[in-house]
Amino acid sequence: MSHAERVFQVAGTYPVPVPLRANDPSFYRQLGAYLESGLPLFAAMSKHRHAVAVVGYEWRAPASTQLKGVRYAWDQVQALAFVDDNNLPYLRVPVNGGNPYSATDIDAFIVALPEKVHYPADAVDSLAQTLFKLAPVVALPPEDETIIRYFMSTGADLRCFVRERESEFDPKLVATIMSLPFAQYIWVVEFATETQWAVQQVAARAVIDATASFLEVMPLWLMHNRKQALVFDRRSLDPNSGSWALQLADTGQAGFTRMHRNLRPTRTK
Amino acid sequence: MDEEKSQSDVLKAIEGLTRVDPDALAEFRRAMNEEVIPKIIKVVEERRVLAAETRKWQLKY
Repeated sequence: MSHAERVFQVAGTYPVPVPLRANDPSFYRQLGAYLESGLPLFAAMSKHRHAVAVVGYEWRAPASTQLKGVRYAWDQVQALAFVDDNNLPYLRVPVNGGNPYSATDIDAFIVALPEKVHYPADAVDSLAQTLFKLAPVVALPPEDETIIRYFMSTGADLRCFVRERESEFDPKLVATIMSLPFAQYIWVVEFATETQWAVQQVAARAVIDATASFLEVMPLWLMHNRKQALVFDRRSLDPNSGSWALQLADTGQAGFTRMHRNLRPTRTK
Repeated sequence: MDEEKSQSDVLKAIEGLTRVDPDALAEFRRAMNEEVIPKIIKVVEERRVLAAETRKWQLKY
């Protein structure tokens, strides 16, 4: 992995190596998040003494479960698409129980991030769970019933997405999203119930500055559900005085459309 | 400070904004300071040490 990382550096990219650490359930969630961000990954599988490029993913069919606890988009992934020099051109690799590999055989990966992205997926993974503590201002579904999905995008793409689905949003929220001076890169965190996930909808969305320092206490631009929004003035030095609330008119939608703008899931033929 | 004056020009254009009670954000700020940020500092430091090692190697073409 170290050699590969060095090669990425010499090629002029900004590689971040992410090894699987003991007791770290966020590793595969991060892998999935980078992949959904449209970033192909160099992935190592030590047990096979082999490395591949991971270039796609496939959701499992929605199904209701009795599982308790917060779930993540990774839990909904059925398979990954590998580019493997031993199995060209593409290899569909199930998350578990695959032959010759399973996605969970990956024990390290390298993602080549844009130069300006300083807020890594590790930080987003922790922050996403902490956003439930903002529930007094922006209500989220109960933690036990929520599926969290996060991925990187650009401010321009978020605006384009919202503009295309304007009728889903209170005009004040549309105006806010069009006005906020987003950094070029953002992380989008989506919160959905199991029912909403099945119909590709979300209950709430948070927008994080991907160019923020990981030392920032409030790296957010925006968080909203159907009735409330929290708007952060990132030019304010005091996060308390830079935090603003906005009451929204319920447009009657059951949820917002899930944002699929980068790498779309593959479908088995 | 007057609420209107403390808003940046961008936010001034958004109608209906009201100041958030800092107490409503206190638990989030505590969790960020005591849990999230220390955890990510540790991870990033591990990565920095790993990267510093590999940068010492000369790649041959």
